[in-house]
Amino acid sequence: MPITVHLDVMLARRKIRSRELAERVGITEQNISLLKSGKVRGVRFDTLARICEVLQCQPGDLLEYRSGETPSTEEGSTDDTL
Amino acid sequence: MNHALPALPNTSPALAAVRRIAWWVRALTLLAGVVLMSLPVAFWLEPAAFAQALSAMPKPGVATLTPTTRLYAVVALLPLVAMALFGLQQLWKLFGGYAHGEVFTEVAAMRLRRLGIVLMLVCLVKPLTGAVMSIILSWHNPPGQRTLTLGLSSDDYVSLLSGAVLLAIALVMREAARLAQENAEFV
Repeated sequence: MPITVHLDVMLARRKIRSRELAERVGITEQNISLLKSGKVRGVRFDTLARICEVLQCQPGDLLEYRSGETPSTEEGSTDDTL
Repeated sequence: MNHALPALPNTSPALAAVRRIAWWVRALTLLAGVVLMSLPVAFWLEPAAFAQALSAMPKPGVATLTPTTRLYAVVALLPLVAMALFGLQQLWKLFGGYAHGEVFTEVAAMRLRRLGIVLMLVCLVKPLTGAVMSIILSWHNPPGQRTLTLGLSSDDYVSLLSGAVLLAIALVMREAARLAQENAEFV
């Protein structure tokens, strides 16, 4: 995945736990965990804005683009589920 | 990526409506299932009446009934009953999922598809069952009074059409499930 998420770094810097961030942002702790590990398809702008507000940071502090890395292939396509 | 699909929110008015409908549909499905399972027994007791209902014997009283013919006729009825019970099972499970807010899922789409296929097959199996039954029930009739009856009604046409519509809706719901899954992967 060419987009790397540095949410865990920002959480450590601001000394905030994932659970607290989830409550203040209004999403589930599971989604915070998925976001930290980069296992999401995308982030909504309003979610990103709330995270930046809570962590007092910029989107660039959370997201990094690394050229040369190929996008991950589709996982868990509907044909494979159920 | 394998995110659990979120069910409809508990506060959703749509979910409340779906739950109400689901309760009634499941109650009616249960009733239909009980009636269907009693059909072979009821048929054993009143074969002529049921044969007429299946358009197998258009004229009452032309069947020569022996215990063997009754048994064969009940056996001939079983595929139709089994198919209908399978359809009711899919309906029961579909609305069971709806009651839990599981609307835009692959499983729900699959159950709709199966229902559609059952409805379309009923249109074929019901007349065939009637035809087989007419042969069985008139087998011991005097020569010249044996019958082969093939009955088609507007109900069969409606069943075929309804099945086709459900199949199309199932395809649409499959796509909806894919979009819901994709949406769930956005935070």
